[in-house]
Amino acid sequence: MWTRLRSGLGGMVRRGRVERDLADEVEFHLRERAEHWVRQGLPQEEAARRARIEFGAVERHKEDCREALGLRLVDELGGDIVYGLRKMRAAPTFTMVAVSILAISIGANTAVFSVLEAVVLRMLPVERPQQLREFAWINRRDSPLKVVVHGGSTSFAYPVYAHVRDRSTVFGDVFLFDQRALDVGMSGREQRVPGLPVSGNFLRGLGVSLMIGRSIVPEDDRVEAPAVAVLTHGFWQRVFGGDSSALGQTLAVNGTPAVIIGVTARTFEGVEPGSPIDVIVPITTLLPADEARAALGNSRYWRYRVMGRVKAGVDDERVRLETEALVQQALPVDSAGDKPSVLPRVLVTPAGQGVGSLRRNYARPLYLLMTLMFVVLLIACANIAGLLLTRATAP
Amino acid sequence: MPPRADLLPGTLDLLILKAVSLGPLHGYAVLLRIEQITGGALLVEQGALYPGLFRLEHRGLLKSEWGVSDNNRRAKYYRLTEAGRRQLRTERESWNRLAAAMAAALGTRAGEV
Repeated sequence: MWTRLRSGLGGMVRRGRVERDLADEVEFHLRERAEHWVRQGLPQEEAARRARIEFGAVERHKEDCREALGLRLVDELGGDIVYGLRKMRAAPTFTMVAVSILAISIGANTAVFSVLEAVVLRMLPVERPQQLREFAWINRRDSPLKVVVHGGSTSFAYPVYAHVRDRSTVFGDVFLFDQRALDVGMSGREQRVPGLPVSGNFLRGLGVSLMIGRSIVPEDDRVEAPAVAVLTHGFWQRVFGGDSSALGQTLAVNGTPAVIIGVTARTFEGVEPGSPIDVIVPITTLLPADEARAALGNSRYWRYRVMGRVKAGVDDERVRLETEALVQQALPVDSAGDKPSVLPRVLVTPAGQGVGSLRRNYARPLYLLMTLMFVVLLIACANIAGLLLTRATAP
Repeated sequence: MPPRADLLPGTLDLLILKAVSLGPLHGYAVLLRIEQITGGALLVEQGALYPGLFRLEHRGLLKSEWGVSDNNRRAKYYRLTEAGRRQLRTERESWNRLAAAMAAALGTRAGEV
């Protein structure tokens, strides 16, 4: 079957050449046959005529050849389309009604599907998103684990993150981020924008491509390093008009002057669908030096979100178990020096489509809506088919 | 001239496969070869050969290539593919079985049933 399909498609695509070759092949045959008769003693014209008679109806045989290549289908299709268009022009009202019905239902389907795709299906525009995982934990209500938790169970303390990052054998890389509003200012003007403080290995670990400039690297994520910032494409367009001289300029981030070192590719808007961000900074930039050491060294301050890139071929349960063990090792001890008696359970969830609750909350309703829209389209098609039938059988 | 038999549908393809099995040939040469190996006993309308060749190539049993003929003209040569070779073998076997069965059936006399 594949040979036939290839042959048919090839024939359709190279139609001109197929026709020329066919003509050449037939002409060769006729000429050879004519020469045969000339050798038998017939005059040139008589020989040529005899050859043509022996060959039979040239055009019919050529048509059979075309059919053998599957080209007939294409020609018939063309004829059918022209006929259909003629019929449509002859009944303008009906055509308009049918087209409107179809247009509306197709439009509705497309609209719903676009939303579905953006919220639920689309992968982050990074390298190999299927390998990304987000960390989360659940705790029993009666757990004596005393920590300060911001924002729910995807928050981790910095030392816990560092411990997993350094010890994990199942993750190729583990990176950290925080989603919060930042006050950015340029030449005195300040505005509050959505920002993404990240660990030094975040952008590289995700595999975010940059439009211009360079990415944040672990060297930038040290307290003593000069403050830097990476802008997203949208912010760069809005504030700098897409001018590459933005590189090297200084942007005040929460009061700290940071040098703009790069701009991300156009498609990258952050890791949470529905919450695009403007500025990416190393996490140490935001905090004045002593506060940095305090917050980043505090295993009771659970605020930061953690993602990782899992190694190839590793079982999901093994990833979860090892990560859970590492997290539990890094838990703060209580005043008696003991770990809490009830330890949290750690989950490792796929994060290729990004993080956040948007997908969780809207996935099911969107799928339902999509199904409904599709049913509407089917009904519309059935309606039109019915109308066509009525017209066809009308006296 | 020996008595001519009409070509049964499907036998043309088999004859083409056989003709080409002895070496790559262009369309006209296939015709001559068929006439030769059937001793002129089977009638082939010359133009009907080409749809047969195209059909076999479309099915992957033949492969064609443009080349130069003996008298320096551009011609399309057909050769048998592996699949074609296998098909020839299979069809030849079933043809032989069919012919033997028919001959036996038609040869029975009144008292032999």
